[in-house]
Amino acid sequence: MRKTLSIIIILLAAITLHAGQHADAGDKAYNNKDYNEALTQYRLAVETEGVSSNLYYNLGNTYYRMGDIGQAVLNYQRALKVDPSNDDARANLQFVQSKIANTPEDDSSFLTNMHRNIVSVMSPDAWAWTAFGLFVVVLGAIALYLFTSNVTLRKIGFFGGFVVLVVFVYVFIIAWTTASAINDHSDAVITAPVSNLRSQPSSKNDKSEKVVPVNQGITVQIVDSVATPDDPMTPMWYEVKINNSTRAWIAASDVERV
Amino acid sequence: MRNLLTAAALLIFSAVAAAQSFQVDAPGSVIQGSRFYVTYVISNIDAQVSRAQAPKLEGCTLLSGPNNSTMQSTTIINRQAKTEYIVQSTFIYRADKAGTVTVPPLTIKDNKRSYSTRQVTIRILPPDKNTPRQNAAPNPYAQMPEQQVKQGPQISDKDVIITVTLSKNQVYVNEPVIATIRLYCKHYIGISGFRSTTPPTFEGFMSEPLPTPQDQQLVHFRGDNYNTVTLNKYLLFPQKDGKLTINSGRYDLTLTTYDRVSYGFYEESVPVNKEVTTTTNQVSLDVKPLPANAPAGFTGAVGSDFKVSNSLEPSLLRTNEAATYTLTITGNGNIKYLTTPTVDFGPNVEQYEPETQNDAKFNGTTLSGSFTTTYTIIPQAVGQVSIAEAPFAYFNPQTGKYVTVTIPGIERRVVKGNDAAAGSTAATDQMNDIRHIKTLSGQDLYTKHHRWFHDILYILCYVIAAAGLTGVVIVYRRYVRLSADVEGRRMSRANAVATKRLKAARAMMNAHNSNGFYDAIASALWGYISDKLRMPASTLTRENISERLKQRDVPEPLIDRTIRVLDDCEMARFTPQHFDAELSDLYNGTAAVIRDLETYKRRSGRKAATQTAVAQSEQTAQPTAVNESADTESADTEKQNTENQSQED
Repeated sequence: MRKTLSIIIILLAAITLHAGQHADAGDKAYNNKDYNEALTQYRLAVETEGVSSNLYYNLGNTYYRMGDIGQAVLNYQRALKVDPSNDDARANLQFVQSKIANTPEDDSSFLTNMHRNIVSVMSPDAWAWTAFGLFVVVLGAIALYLFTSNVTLRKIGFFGGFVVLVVFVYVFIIAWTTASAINDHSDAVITAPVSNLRSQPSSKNDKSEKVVPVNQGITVQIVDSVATPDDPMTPMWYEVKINNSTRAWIAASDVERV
Repeated sequence: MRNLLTAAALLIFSAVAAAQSFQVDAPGSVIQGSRFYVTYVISNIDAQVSRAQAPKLEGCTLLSGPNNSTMQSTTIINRQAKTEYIVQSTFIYRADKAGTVTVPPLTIKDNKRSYSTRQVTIRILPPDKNTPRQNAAPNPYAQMPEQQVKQGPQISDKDVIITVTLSKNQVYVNEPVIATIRLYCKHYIGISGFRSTTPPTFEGFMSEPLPTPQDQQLVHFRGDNYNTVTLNKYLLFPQKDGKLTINSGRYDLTLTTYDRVSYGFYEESVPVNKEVTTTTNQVSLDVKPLPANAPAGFTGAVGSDFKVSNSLEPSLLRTNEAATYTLTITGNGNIKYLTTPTVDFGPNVEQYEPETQNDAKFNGTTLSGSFTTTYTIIPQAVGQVSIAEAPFAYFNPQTGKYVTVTIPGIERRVVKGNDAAAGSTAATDQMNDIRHIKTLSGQDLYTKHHRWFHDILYILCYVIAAAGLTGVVIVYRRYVRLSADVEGRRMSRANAVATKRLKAARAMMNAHNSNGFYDAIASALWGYISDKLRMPASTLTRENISERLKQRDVPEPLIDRTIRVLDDCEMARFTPQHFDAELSDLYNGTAAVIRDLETYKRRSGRKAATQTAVAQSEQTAQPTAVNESADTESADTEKQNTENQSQED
């Protein structure tokens, strides 16, 4: 047991690196308002030193300062994907999104928004341990029900345990989804300055086809993809969900996965 | 009678005195040789113009007059009768000599007062030089007998001229110049169609259309007589220096003359149309640049008499309450095209997009009026709003110099507004920028994201917790059951207890303590039997022991042996002589009996076997230890065992 633990700790240490020189240099350049340099350094950091929620956040800020709304949104989304509880990233994402003209209407329901707010309270690990804590509480409630002879305590154990069990299941699902989000690449951000949403995966202009221009920085969800090798302009198309109700096709080169 | 009717009418309707006037109407210009009319219009005056009063015009011949036409009208509005009585007296003249004649004022009198006309001037233009024309009025009666056509004059492209004229030839940048587009058309030609195909363009100018005067007149132009009218008038502000050219425009016109067709008794005019295209002349303008030494505060205003006034309302400013700063520039010149001045209100003032209002009118040579800019500001902090005194400079093209006027400075105190809460939101709204970066130094970066949720250790935690609870439950359960079944426990531990007592007895024997030895060995054997047979030691007798053992199918010899050892034990306890050999014999016999009883049980049948197994496991398992793997098995056996016991009993 102790051996396994120490092996895991060693493994963790192996994949954990302290922020290196590039990340530091990026911070320095950003503070000196040299955003070009900051961008170069942060990107080097991403490539050579590893990533973190805050690094993506800083990168998003740099892109915003340089006027690239699409990349800014993309990096804020990445920051939130790594750590949904990154408040600053969320605030900046909302701010930058408010600057985008013709943002699609958010038609998600009240419950969805509430769930989203709850998820953003803690980091994925905190959710995982909260779930475990609740599990222990459930076990405690069961023990209370089994081992006490006092009727009130037994009732508390039974019903309380049931309530906590429901909460535990919800928290466990949150822990699961937030932990698994890192491997989910279905979200994408439109990074091309000029991009068109089409009703068909084809760049040929057809009169019956509907073509709507979209601004960069809009977040979409990729649901399907189609390769069109015959089309030299756009060999790959994604079918994207803009919000819950709208679906369209977009050239794969116009978007970047979060 | 008539008077009576009038009186009656007057009783019913209150008559309103109509406006009285006496006016003369004469053409501004006539061509030599043609006839013209001088008409006197007498409105509501009880008087007439007589032939004797006909004005004597030099170089003109009075042909006839006065030819009177009378017009009377009565209108009744709201029971008020209004009667107009107008007499037009026309004199017909013929112009005989070119020049200018003056129609002197004419005076008439009614019974109350006298009325005079104004003096008018008539220009008599020389006849056309270039066009041979039938000057004299044609005499239709001469050609009475046969039908014949008398052709009207031929129309040529030269009969229509459109000119563009500028009021000045040399101006400064932004100094206005008036461009007039004027149409000239031979006086005997009518225009039945007009289309400006490509109007002149004013490239390099700001153009301001001016109202077109209704100034149709007959003029002598380039040797001929033309009807002329102003088509368009523009006020132009040149925007760059150099030679600016106004490109010629193109106009399509339909010109009409009349052929006269005589049918003997009557004559008919037949229109003859001709399409003509004419282009305007190109004009160019020398635009001088403004002098280089422009003073501070010059934003391009060119003109004269610029004045600046400003005001800030209300007089006492409050935070988060809107205030209005008004800057008004008045003057003559390019007032309409001024740039909105920027005003610095200081750091703690939120400023909205200023609104400009333009009120400029053409005053004959340039635009004159005001340019008002309204700035809406909201002070954000208590203190002071001060607008510094600033210069406003303009260029006067008449003098060729820059003139600077001063925009007065304004200082106002700002007190706290009523809505403090709104102030805080306003302050937060102002921070509309992204949040600052986070310092990465000392933070961890990951090449692979570790998630505890996906860690095996995390899952293990759940397993341990669940197993822990299960274990606790099982142990607790057995504890509860065993504490409820004391006899069963004792029975299951009988062998262990007996072994322990035998051990103690052996220790006594080795110590030659015979009394202690007998006590120990008796209690070991009696205790064992009592535990095994589930009978209290006090109720045990030799008889019921053998009976019970018999019931359990213990063979006779073993029962006899057991009873004998019991007897030996009792005997030895209460007889005084003790030998070490006896002690050891007794010990061995007792141990053998207990062992045999135990062994017999192990061998005999299924029931006994399980009982022994229980006893065995009870011996090995420590009651307090939590050994999960063993627990589950033994729990099952235990259960069975308990059932068997209850069946037996």
